[in-house]
Amino acid sequence: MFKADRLRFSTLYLVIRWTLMIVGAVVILYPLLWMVMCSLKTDEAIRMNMYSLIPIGGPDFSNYKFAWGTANMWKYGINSFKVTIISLFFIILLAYLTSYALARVRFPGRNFLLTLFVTLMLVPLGQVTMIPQYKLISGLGLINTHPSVILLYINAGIPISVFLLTSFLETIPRELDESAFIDGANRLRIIFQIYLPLSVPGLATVIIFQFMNIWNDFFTPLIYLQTPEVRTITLGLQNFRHLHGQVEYNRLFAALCIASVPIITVYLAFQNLFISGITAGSVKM
Amino acid sequence: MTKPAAKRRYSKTRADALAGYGLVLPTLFLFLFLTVYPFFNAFYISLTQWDGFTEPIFVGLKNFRNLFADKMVWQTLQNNLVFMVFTCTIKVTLGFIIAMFLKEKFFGNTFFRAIFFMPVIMSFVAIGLLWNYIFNPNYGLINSVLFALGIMSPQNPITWTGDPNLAMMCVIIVDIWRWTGYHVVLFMAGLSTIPSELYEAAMVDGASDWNKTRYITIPQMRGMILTNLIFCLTGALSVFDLIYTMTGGGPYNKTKVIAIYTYEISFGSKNQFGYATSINILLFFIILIITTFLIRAMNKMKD
Repeated sequence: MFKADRLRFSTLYLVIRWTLMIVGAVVILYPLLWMVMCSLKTDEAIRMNMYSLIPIGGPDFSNYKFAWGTANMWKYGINSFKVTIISLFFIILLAYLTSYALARVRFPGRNFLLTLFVTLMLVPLGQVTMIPQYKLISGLGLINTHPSVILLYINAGIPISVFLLTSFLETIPRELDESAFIDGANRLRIIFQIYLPLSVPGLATVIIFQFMNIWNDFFTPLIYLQTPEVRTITLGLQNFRHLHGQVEYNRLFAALCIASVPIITVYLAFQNLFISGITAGSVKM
Repeated sequence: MTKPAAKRRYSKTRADALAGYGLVLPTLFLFLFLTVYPFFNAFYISLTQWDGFTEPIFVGLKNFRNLFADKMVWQTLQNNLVFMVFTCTIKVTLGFIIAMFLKEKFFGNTFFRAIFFMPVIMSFVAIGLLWNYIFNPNYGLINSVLFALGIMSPQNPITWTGDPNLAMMCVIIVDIWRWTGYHVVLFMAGLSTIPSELYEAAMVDGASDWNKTRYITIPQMRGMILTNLIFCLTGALSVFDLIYTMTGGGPYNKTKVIAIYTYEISFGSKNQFGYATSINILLFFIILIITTFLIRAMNKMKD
């Protein structure tokens, strides 16, 4: 009787598990597949059948031509890329040096700084500092230039990066410094030649997290980047909302694919790195 | 004998301190400039009337007095609250349940985890635009299926995000669609830290699966549940991209949240930067109180 009970339970369990998994996967994948497939449909095909996944008459790439060229997605993409790469470089550089100091150098005020970064990570100040930052940046004459958003991304990205890198650097054995010191290496050599190669996994986490944040950010460019020449990709997508309201949505979907599919592909290839990168800050708490 | 050694140690700590300050200085400078100064400056700006171009005019507490009388502030806060309660409850519960299933090894479990996490890496703008067309009344995914099934007539479609009674539900659904996978992964990380001895001991005692969940998993996961809540609550109180893209705060302000409102009255059109800052300060304190409360609760649990 005990056995029968267990069996019944586990059948029920399996039914619930598989229902949840399959329903969940369909709910997430169907809209995404629909987006990709509709971007390959001609206007004709989309009018014939809106919800199907099959582009009647074969895939058609004219929507991509439109989004990429006419709607300037390539330009927005380049702008996003530029802003993201420059911001990332400075976030990594500044956060890495700071984290090394916090993890390995003893100096008065170290604990205070550590607490400060953790607090800043948890309490989002973005909202309250938004307008004063705007005042500051416009005072510097940087409105409508890439340095405005880059500066803000560096500033916003540092607390969590320092937090993650410091806890990563603390796992590297201290003896390494000491023996390098004895061998006569100076600080900078220790930082860049000994610690840097060992920090690659920690840096990868930070890079992925920040890359996603900056690439996907919408609010900062919305405020600071006004003319089409400097706009980033998320603003470029918004253009479709205003300019192409009556146009068939296959063109918008092509633009959405240009913005999302590359990153999803990279994600699928380096899944674990992405998942740990994006959730690291909250898991470590 | 001891003196030189002591002296050497002293100079080493001094060199250490210098190196330490040298390394943190660039970051600190940036920080004072772009976080600390703007933070304190916000309190000053909130006491002024500022159009964004000319010099701010000091008006004392006028903005805060207006704020308490402004019906829109309370309506938008209420919208934030509704959004927060529904999204957080559903995302965290669903995330926990899915994580419980996924932590067991079965064929395809890593595949499902990858799928559930996928929307997290997309931008909210892209997601919002995609869902606008899923909800589109005339040629959206949902309605065209309903038309095809004959459940709804194309002459009288449900307008979803255009319907004052349904718009909030629509943005809540999309938020859940995007973030559930994030909570799944956080919970999975938490579940993997529960010592397996606890389950083994329970098995020896003949505990049922339900009792194991009830008496081991959930108590052990309390800290993780709070972590999830912190990220979820602060996110819900400052939500902007999704709502800006999907409804712009409409229809009839039914989805207008505080971040949309402060954007509108500052950068949007009205140029009331001082007033917008005072609302942002109010929001800051609300978030601060909630986070402090949750972190306190979390630390209490750790003891």
